[in-house]
Amino acid sequence: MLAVCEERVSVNMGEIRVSRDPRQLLVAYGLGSCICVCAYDPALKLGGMLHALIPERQNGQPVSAKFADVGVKMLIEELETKGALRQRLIVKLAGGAQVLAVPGMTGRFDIGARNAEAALNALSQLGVRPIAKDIGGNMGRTVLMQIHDGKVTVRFTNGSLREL
Amino acid sequence: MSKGIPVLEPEQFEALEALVEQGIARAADGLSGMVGGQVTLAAPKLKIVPVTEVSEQIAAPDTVLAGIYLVIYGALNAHVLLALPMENALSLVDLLMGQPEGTTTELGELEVSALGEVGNIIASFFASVVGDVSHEIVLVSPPAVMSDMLGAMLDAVLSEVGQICDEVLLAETAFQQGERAVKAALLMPDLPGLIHIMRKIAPC
Repeated sequence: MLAVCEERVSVNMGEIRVSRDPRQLLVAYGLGSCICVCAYDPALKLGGMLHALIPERQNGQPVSAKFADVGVKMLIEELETKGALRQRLIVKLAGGAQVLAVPGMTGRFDIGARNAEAALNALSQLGVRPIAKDIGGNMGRTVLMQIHDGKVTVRFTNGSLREL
Repeated sequence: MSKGIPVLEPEQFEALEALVEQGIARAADGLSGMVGGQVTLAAPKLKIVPVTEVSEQIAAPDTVLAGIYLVIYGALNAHVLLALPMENALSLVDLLMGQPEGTTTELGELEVSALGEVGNIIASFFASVVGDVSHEIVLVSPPAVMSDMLGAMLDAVLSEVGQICDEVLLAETAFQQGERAVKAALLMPDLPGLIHIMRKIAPC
């Protein structure tokens, strides 16, 4: 299901990676409540991935890709700086799960849903509509994006795979 | 002094190291009592780590582990995550239940409860030390036991922490009993609470 790519590039928490190297596979490992946003311009074979962990940046906090709302904007802007056209972008999301469930603390760890909502709102404000998403649930995910064709695959903790 | 805790004097940081060591030692005693055998612990390592780099300090973020998670709250707010390979978790359950190693092959309700109790003992004994030396109330949540990728288990905790500060104090140790080892990571994101307690313990 996954093509053999020569180079795996890890997109860690709070990072954005953009690439047009067809040998590369961008990977966000071990997503729980974090949200991963993948955007791909098929005309340029240019792709980018955001791995955000907090829904929204508050006043006074530095601008950072760790915030989903700001990170989405940074991702799209970086792709556009490299020649991508917003209207061509194919966008997919994954993550936003709730893995922690502490008895008596219901709701404290529902940040996954808020991360997903913040990312979707940010995309909407930019006029970008994702074509696929795999969000929520209670299981961890690893997200892999092939730069040579933009294919996005989600691998779950139980080993199952899903192409978005 | 570390970038993450700029208002702790060196003497206070040393006192913090001693407090963590004392807390973990008492936790090891509690665990020894539970398993009926001597449990030792590795000297805890304290380090200041960027929130975004915590996972890789423990294992690759997509490593599937068994995790026992609790919250410490009250005068000190902290997160405790005991992370161990699944085979060690199953082995630990056998040990707790007095069964031959290899008997437990999956985590059912009873097994989850046993592991949760391990977490409860470790966190409670640690919290009691902090409470004793600071004369403050420090409590422990019920445990959550799960099996998932390490990154997935840490994400929600780090999201909460990352809203307060960019770095956390990470204390790592490992509990050992014979061949079995349980790696433990203790995150302390509540810097105001931590500083308050350390100033009481080691006023400078």
